[in-house]
Amino acid sequence: MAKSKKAASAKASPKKGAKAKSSPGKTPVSRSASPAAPAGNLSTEALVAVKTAVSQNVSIDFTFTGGIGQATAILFRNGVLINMQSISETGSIVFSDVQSGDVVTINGVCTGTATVKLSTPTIPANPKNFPNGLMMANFLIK
Amino acid sequence: MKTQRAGLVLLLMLCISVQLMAQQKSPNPIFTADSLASGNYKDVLNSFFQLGLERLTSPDKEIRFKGTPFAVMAKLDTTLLIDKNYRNYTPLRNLNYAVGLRLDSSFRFNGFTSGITFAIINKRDETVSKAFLKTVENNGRVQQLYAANTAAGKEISKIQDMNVKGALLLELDAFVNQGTSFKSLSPELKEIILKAADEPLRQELNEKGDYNFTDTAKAIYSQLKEDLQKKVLWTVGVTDTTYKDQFVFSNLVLHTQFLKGLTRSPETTHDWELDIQSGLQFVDDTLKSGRDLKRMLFNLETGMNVVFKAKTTKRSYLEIKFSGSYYRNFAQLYAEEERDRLSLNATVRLRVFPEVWVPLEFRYDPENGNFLGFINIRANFTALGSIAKQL
Repeated sequence: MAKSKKAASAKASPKKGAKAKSSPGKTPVSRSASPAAPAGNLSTEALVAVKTAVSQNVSIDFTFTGGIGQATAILFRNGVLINMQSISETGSIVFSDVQSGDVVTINGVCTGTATVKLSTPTIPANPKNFPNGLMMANFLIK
Repeated sequence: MKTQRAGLVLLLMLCISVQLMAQQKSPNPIFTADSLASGNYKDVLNSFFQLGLERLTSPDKEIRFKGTPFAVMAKLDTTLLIDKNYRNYTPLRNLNYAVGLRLDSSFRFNGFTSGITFAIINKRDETVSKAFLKTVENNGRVQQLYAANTAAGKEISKIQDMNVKGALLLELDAFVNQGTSFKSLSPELKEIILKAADEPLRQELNEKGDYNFTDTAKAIYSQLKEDLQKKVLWTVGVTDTTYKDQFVFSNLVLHTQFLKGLTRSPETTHDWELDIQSGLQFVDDTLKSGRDLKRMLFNLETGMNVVFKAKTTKRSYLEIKFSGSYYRNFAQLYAEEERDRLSLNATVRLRVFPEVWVPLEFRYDPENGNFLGFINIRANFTALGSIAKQL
């Protein structure tokens, strides 16, 4: 997993006391203004998460039942890793400055059942239930 | 489900009607319904509920209910199944209780039975094992699948057209979670996945056109879970029986059982499991007037269980257990009774449906030449999952 890639400027704020870990990186700073650059453009703007008028905070709720679990959520924009956080028990991860078209990737494992719920509409639809075993999914933010 | 139920009824009828060869005693058929899970150790320590009808063809029958206090609590409050609460109740889940009614040949009440069993060491419960989670996450093949899933998501995020992006992610979800084979995917997604996959996985995808990501993930997890079932389980417990006309114990048994898998190779198609059990039984001395528990009998059984598994699914289809038993009577001997006794035992356990087992038990007394046979039926059901769905 590409843990070395740093979240450029997205805010990371786990809530509800969940044991969420942000990927190593500098203190996130949101930038306002210009929209994200198109894919393939390797300018500074392309590699930086930029806060726009349509940016939103997206909460990802993980619920593990009948057992324990852990999961990692990764936010991609135009092929760039924007943010990555892990959780090791029922709780939430919050990605700030999420934009339409971003992809949230989930990798994890649960020994009972698990439910993943995002606070925004996605493709495929959420919440998504997982039986015991590996949990893997990708959600497109609408 | 209907097929399983029909099979169960058929086997129950078989259990009632079949009289297996026995020289001294009548057969001892047992029907047991374990409502939580399969797995050999569930016979020793069940995790939720178990309903049993024992010795159906014998004059002394028994209806027995086993459960855990946690199961009852979780029925009343399903939030206890949420991981934070679930972990806190681990000791309570390691405690089993059993209550039963004994019936005579005319199905009339013949006394109560009850008992408790506690797992002193239970390293087989993967549901609360952080070490198991780490083992799964650190597994090389699991990391390959994670990497492919991540890289595919990353590649798709580069696409600008939202409709194309959405369609590809739906297709990717079908591939990852719904069992769609690799060959059924669109050429675009195939290309993305091949680009995203690590070399060993890419090679597998190229070689096996019908590669199934979902099944592969399930198989890897099942294998790792199965490896955990080889760990130690040690239980202790007490069981008692009362008289039919008085709530006084007619029989009291202190028992303990130890299980440990001995096979290390995950690729093997047969596992060896050490099974040691011992009991100290206190019963009424009928030579003396009144009711007491002064006759003390000890037994020790040591055996080896061999589990034969299918090569591809790794699911066991046949188990054969060989064991030797030693009995010692510490009390005053009755006429023609022996102080010490030995027997050789064998259990052949055949899987007839995914959740239904038919164990045939044989016991041979080398001194007296007695040969006994028993037929049992055990059915496992997953109930915890359905309760969790109520959340």
